[in-house]
Amino acid sequence: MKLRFAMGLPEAWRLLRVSLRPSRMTAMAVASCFICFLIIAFNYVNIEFSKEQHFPAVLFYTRIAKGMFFYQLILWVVAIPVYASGALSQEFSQGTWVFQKTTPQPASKLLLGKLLGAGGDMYVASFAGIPFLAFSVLKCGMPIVDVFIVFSIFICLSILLSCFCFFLILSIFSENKQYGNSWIAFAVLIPLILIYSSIPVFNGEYGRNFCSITFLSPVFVIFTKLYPELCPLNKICFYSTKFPLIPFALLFYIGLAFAFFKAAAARMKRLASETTSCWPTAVLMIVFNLFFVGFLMNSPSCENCWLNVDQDDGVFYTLTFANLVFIYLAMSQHTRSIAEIRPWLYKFDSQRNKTAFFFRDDAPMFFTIILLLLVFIATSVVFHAVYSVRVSTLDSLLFISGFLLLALRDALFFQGAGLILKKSALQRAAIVYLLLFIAPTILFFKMRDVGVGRERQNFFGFIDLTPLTAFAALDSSFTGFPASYILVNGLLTALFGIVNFRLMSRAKAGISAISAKIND
Amino acid sequence: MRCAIKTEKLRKEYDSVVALKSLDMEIPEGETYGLIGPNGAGKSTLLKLLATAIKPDFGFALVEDANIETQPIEARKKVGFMPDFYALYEQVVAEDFLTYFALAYGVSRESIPGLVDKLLADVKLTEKRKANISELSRGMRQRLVFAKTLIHDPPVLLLDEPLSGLDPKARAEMIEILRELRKTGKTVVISSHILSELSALCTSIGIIEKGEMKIAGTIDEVRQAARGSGKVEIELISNAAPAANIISGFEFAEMRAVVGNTIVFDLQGDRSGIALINEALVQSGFGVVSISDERLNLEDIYFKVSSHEVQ
Repeated sequence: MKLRFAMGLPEAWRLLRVSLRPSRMTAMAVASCFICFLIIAFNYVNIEFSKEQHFPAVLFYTRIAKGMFFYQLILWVVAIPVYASGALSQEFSQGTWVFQKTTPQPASKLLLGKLLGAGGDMYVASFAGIPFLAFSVLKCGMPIVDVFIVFSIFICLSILLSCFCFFLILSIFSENKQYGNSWIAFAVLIPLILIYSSIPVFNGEYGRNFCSITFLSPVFVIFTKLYPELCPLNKICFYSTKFPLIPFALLFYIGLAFAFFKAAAARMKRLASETTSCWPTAVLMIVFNLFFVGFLMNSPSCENCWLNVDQDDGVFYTLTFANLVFIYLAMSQHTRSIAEIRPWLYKFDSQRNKTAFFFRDDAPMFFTIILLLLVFIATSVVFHAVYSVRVSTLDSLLFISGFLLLALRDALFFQGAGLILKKSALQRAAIVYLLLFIAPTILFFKMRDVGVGRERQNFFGFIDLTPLTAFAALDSSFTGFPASYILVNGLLTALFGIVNFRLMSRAKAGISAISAKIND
Repeated sequence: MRCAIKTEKLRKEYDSVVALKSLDMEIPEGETYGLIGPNGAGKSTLLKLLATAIKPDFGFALVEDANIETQPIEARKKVGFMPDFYALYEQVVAEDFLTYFALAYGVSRESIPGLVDKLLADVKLTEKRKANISELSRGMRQRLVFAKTLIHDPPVLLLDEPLSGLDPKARAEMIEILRELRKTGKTVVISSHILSELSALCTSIGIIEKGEMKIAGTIDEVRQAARGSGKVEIELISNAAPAANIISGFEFAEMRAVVGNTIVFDLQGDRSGIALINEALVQSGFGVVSISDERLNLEDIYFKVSSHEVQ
């Protein structure tokens, strides 16, 4: 393989050198042809044994073409991301990472190399299957342009899932594994999106109202090409304007892949000793807001939008809730153990009158949260000004201040848990959090549905502690409640803050004392 | 002389253990520096820090004037690092392994084939150039990784236990390669437990213990510092007792015994005292048959330092 190509991406060169050896390529091509043959044989046998006497040849070839497309889908959307992420995780599990870490290659180049080079075997398999696909497509009369469209979806999805896996692996295999695990929760979102967006397919007319969001589901977008009868809609509404579904979906996938790629590269850099700041998270949050506002904006010209939002305040709540999820995810990502905060503390101490940079990734988490909250408030203000949301200013201020208070409270809680519980801080914090906040929230809504006034009243003590109290505050049936929740949570935030401050200095001093004991 | 490596108040903690306390160290350019210390002393941590594989909690380190924390990319270009524990890409052939790292370090495309050939020849792996790494023995792998550390011609080499786990033949071959390296003028830092072999390779040493540098300098300086008072024996042709009186007259000599024609005394300070005593004895007409003094080897120095005889 030419060294000219390798100069740009040595990592891709290394991986392709192994996978594109003649013996290996031959084996992959033969295996791929065998699978294609099985697909044809399966369809042939299926038709032979079917009760229909006159089975049109076009239908037979259509079935084979769909089978070939699904084979290619598995290669591109499943196998290549698995190979790419495997190439990265093996660096950690095998112990070769130390060599990569000490080369001057930028993290982005290394990741891009793995992205392009790791799937060498699968490229061969895919290429070997193309004659079978081409033959069946030509025979069934499917437009060739559709083949290119489906392949472009495959490639975009392959990149998206590979980048997502990179990000996940680099979060889990970080120097401090405990906070990396938190992203497993984020991984759950992907199947949720897949499941959620598949619902419209199986819900007939009702489901068609949701067709625009289904572009979030990779499977569904492919279905719109292969099974157009399931979802005839091929437009989505964004900022009150209709856009064609597939180009929009592809741009969305690539944009998301880029975000994951950048985040993965940033995490990789941190492992390799460079420091990063949390500013990119803030930028991502702004993009995230602008993106979702676009979907939430309704207009009479846009039917079958994602959410059928009748009132502007609904947009406001949805946006706020989406931000809440974003901030809490960022919070879990930025949870640090004392071992990681320590360098920041040393710098803070050594500079005396100056301050170590608050928004660096090794700074205590609540500074990051303050930054994100400021971003949230700023975007909310712009949103109010531009779209003249009908929610009263007082309500909005109350809502946002409650939100700020709750996020800060929980940031301090997570930080404190990290300082006390050392090794499995986040996991333990998550359990406490679940018991203390989430469970009462679920119970609250259950009780509210039942509508038993007394039980609901008795439950208020717990409700004050849940992150969703901000929403409850705006419910007109809870007169006088906002004051109580601001008071209770204000006191809690202050208490967590004081405890945290004490823990931080004690943890530093304590660890130094232990270290001194061990070393002297 | 210009410093190739300089650290100041370098500190690294792992959870509740301080691996490096507050390390100040200077290694002049061109030195072959032996880093000695027990397991857990902080040797590997120091090398990893200098190679930018981990970042310090406090303090700073310069490698050829590149700050490891603020200029890690520059530092990496100037360092060849061979870690103590590592794994290799088993399915890659030996020459591809070197080519890959040549590309990763930005070596020019034209010079790569020639460079790979030369390095494979230097580490005696030319015959194995097309072999998968999985087919190489432990010693061959060690040599291959050593060739990798030289691929970008770095001015500083950090070798963590390069001799460990090798059989005697492979160790001898590796020592030979390291000896050859001294001629290139590179700054080499070698951490090792095999002290006898280090003394043959190193021009200076540093003894590190519990994250602190106990003693550092050229081997003679360290030996001198570790020596403190050393035993000296002088054998005369005859009549040792009057000679003992002469020796007692020197402040730096403390008599221990006169046995037959042999005088045994402790010498404080450097070895120039022996020359002065010899001169005095000869001028007084004593026939000096032999002089022997206690020369500390690296192991003696290390045990003296680690048993806190030397501060």
